[in-house]
Amino acid sequence: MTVFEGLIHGFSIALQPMNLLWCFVGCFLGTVIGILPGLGPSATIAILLPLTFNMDPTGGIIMFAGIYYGAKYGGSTTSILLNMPGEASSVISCVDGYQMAKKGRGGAALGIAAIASFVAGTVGLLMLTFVAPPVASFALSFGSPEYFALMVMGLSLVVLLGGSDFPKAILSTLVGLWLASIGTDLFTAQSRFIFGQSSLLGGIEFMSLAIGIFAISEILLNIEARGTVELLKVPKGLRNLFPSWAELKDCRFAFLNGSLTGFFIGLLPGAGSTIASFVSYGIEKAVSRHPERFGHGAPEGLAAPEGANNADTGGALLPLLTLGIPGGASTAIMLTALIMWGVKPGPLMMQQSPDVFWGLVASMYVGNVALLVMNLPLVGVFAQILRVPIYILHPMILGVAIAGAYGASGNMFDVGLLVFFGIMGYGMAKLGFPSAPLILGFVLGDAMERAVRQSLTMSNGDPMILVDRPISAVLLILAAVILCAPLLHRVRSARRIVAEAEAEA
Amino acid sequence: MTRQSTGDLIAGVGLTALGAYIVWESSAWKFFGPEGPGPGFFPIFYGGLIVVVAIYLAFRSLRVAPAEGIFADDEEKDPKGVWAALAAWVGLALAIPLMDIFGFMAGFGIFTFLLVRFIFGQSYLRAFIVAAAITVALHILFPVLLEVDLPEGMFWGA
Repeated sequence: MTVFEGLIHGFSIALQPMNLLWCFVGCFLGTVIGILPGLGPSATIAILLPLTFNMDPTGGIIMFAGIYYGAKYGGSTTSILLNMPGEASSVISCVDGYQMAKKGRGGAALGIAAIASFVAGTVGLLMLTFVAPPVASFALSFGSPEYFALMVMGLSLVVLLGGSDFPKAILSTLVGLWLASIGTDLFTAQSRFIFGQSSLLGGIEFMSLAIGIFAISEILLNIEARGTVELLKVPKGLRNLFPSWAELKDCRFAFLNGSLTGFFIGLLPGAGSTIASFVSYGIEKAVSRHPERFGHGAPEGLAAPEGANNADTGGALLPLLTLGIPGGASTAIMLTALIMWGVKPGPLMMQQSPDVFWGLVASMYVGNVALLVMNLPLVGVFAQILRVPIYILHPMILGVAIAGAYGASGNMFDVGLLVFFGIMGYGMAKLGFPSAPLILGFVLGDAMERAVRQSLTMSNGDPMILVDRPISAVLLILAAVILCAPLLHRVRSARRIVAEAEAEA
Repeated sequence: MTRQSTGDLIAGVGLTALGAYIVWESSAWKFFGPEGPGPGFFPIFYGGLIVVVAIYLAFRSLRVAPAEGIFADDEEKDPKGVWAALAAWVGLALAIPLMDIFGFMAGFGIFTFLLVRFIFGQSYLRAFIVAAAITVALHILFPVLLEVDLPEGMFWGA
């Protein structure tokens, strides 16, 4: 199946009434949770996962993808109207978006955010559409050593980019690997780390971990913050949401910058849309003829990061769908969902599950249009969601989280784990431990252990198998370089300090 | 020593203990056999790494106080927020046995009532209305509409 045939097949799947409905539901939910500060797409997808057990995989993944990229559209609304980002990836949008709104250009700012999201999101998707088939073909030559090396490199990047504190990111990843080991070893049936609990023989329920770490801890952090917010006036009428021609002209390069930066950074495990948005903002400011306007309501300062955080979706889905390697928390949960539905993401997904692969890709084109339509005229309606009192919203989310954890297994033990992981996630956030590496370590832990054990069994215990094969050797060298990068930086800083001290002396 | 570095020290010590436990526990399992690596093979590596990195974290916290981190920010914040979050968590933890015994409706209803009344500071009447409305709404959504089971409790369960 060529790319064009695949895409046509995908549209025939995505435009089926039920799949269209799931696409709209996902986009709508995504926009709502994007607007609500403190509830991210990872938590929402994790909470909804148990409800999709009996769903058709195509409809399910279309809905989850809608939540994933819809949240990025919604996140800009609070950045612009409240100076409070709904999502981490919208933090930088506050800088110029809120300034535009304060100057009475709130409508134009919302319009620019929506248009940039649409343009860059579509460019990111086009790149996913055309790059995914060759990447999948290349990955067909991968064996266990290559997969192990790929996962090591992926986790190294997550560690490097996943948090400001390198040792804490490593520890999060390692604890994730440990949590994945809990239960029965699939090779030898040896029970590991079960603390005498027979409920742990089957391993830790992913739902309890994901919902606890993301949803429960986010609610605890929100309760702690107890913030009150004041919404700027939402512009009424579609005409007030369209930016002027001059503003659009100023954003031409920002649309392109956001599209390319977002896609390529999205490819990197652990980087995510937050880094993409910051990098694109930095590039935009660096190449601007009027950098002094940035921070004071420059439309291109809003368009670039908003574009980047949407183009990132295409980049992030590429390794998930073609290699089966997620790069972030949301894609890790989507990987679990696909496996749960019996779909195996990886190089053979296009052949084995063309309906799911191409249906998902095509639905994202549809979803981008739906989000543009939803976010321009309905922005005022969505903004009203912020008026729902937190004393209603938080218990509601907690109730859905408990129902989600219990519904997955029908076991109260898993609800107990949910509560335990809730306080663990809260503690991690308080101590500055990033949670995404932990989730990725957990999701990749089993596959990583299987790959290394299969590799060493193939070679009769000779570890050279991991470096004898060129692809695996290159990936492991890259991983070593990635892990050594912060150390080199520290050595360089230390040498500079010593040199400065010597110069002063 | 700042609160951040105290937190790092506690985390470092705790994670060192966890890593040591992983290494100790997995050393009892087969590391390598004729059929290849055993169940102890992989955990020994990451357990050992946890020990090394956690010890580094603990020592670093004794030497320097990192400037960034949520605990550092907290010194300027109202500590009541932290207590409110912890109280909400304790309430949630206590709601589990309640749900196990009396079912979701009663256990979650009582938890929501207490949360809305005492953590969010709403009146008794409003707390009661919110708790009842949310519990009933979730019951209608999950067991009735989506056919997803909720805890039924010892008295009502099969």
